[in-house]
Amino acid sequence: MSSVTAKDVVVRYGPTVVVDHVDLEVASGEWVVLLGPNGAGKSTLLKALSGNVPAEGALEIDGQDVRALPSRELARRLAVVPQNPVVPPGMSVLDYALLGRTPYIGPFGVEGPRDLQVVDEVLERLDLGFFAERALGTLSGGELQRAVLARALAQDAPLLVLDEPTSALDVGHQLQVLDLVAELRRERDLTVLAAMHDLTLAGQYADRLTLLACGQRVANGPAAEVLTEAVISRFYGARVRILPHPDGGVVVVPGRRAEPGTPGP
Amino acid sequence: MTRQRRPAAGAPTSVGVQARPVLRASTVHPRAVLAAVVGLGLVVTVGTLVGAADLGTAAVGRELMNALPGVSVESGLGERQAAILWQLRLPRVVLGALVGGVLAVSGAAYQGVFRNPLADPYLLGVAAGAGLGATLAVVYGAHALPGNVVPAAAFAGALLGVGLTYTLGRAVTGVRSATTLILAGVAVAAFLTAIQTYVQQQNTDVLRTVWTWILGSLTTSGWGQVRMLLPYAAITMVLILLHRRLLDVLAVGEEEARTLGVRTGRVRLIVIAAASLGTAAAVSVSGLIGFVGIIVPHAVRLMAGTSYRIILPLSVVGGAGFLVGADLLARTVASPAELPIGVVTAFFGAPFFAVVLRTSRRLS
Repeated sequence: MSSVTAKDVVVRYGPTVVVDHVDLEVASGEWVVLLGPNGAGKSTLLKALSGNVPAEGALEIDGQDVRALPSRELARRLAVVPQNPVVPPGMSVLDYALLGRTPYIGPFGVEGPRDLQVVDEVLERLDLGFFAERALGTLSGGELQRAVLARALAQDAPLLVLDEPTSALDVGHQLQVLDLVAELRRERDLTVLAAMHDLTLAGQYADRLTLLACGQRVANGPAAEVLTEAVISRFYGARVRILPHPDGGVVVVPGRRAEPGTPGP
Repeated sequence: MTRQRRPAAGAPTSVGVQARPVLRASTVHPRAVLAAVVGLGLVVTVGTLVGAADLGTAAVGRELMNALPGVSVESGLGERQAAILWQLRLPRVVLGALVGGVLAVSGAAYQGVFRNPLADPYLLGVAAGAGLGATLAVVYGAHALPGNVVPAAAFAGALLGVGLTYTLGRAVTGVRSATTLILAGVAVAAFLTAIQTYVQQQNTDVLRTVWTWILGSLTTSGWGQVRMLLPYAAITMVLILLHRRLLDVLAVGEEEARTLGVRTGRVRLIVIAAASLGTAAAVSVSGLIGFVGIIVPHAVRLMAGTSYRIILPLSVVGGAGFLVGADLLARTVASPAELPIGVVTAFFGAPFFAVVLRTSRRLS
């Protein structure tokens, strides 16, 4: 278990303020989804948390400043599934997952039996056991996403950060990956922080939604409070209807603009 | 979807019962090492036996046995012939092996830190710096200073070139980027080459000497060059081989490598420094021998695997064998004349590489 506290976070790219005094809290064991239109600062905020962009303000995991933690220590506490992972096509799934053990291996060392055991379990858990020797370049999108997840899980970190983990997948594989994250979170007591685009899925999986727009936090709360027609119209500039989901929660339905001369719905 | 979910957990079918192979991380296969070492041994043996002076195979064999402790046989070689073997041929073979090994492993290391398959050991201004140093030494140093100052000047120039590139690459941007470094290398190389060309044009009488040096040569007399290169070669190889796993981690890019806890800036600095030091030392004793640093690591990649745990050790052995073989051709094909070794590495290396590319199905 692991908690995140960010206060007054500011990230600049040159003169442009990309993240503008944002607060973010993720309680231990919670699943928080970051929402927001393209360019809202979601990915940047996640990169600030993982120490990959310089940021002002407080950025803490379990009360410790992430910038003060040695990089290996940070990698043992926080595992990142990047938005567009770099995929070395000739690397085997096994070798790729073993990269996740890097924070536990000395700078000049190689994997020991313990590392192989951890990765073996992770690959089995993600149904990748039979893919272990396959080259990453031969995997389908869904398989590849599980391989990336396997590498993150091999880090054995209590906090899992996902940057749009499903944006490249079809609806079946989106659900598969998100269900998997939900199960893993339960099994391993993970805290999950994810940036997502699909509002309906975000509402179904997250405990809490945090909406960013133009670098600022503009809404924060359970799905019922954040996913309203007024909020989405204002910050996404999108015409949507919010309908009750038959199984609970809400469905966000985008609707095209009525063309002049045709009868509206 | 159904296809990839078949081996799901909780379904103890016959598939699930099947014994899974024991997981093992990528590692260099002992048989591959054995094959490479045997190949190197063969080339070294032939390289020692064959040369412009016909010493006789059996006599050379007996003479070499003499070097073993406690062995004393009459080799049948005269004093002059023994000197050819010990002071010309053998040091040349050893020097070729060292230079080849260093250039190949440095090339592999550069390709790893820059994640660029076209990176070669001369990328960051090493070649241009060495060329300028050698030219200045030939033009101004030969008369003023005692002894052969070309190697020392080339070495200093090579280090200066890399130093300038690295300083410029860091000064230009706060962002820690490998691309910036490559661009800085392009600028530094152009600048140093401009100076070199100018000095050369002002002193056309030394053009030939300078070009002979630039084309590369393993001509030796005695063990001096081997002794000079050996410590740098050892440092370079050890430092780069120590980073074999971290170079694999860098394959996912700097940003992801950092989230895995790697201090990428430091790794890059150490690996580049090691590769540049070795390359500078190699260049100073042999001139600019092209192609080894690109062709050998890629041939290893295609034949044996893409992990740096495989590429690095096999590049050392393969580079050594490749250059000793190339030098063997350089001094025998047009005997008694010698071809520049850089011509041989490209002329025979390129077709060899084309064959490897065609026959390999490893890269997807």
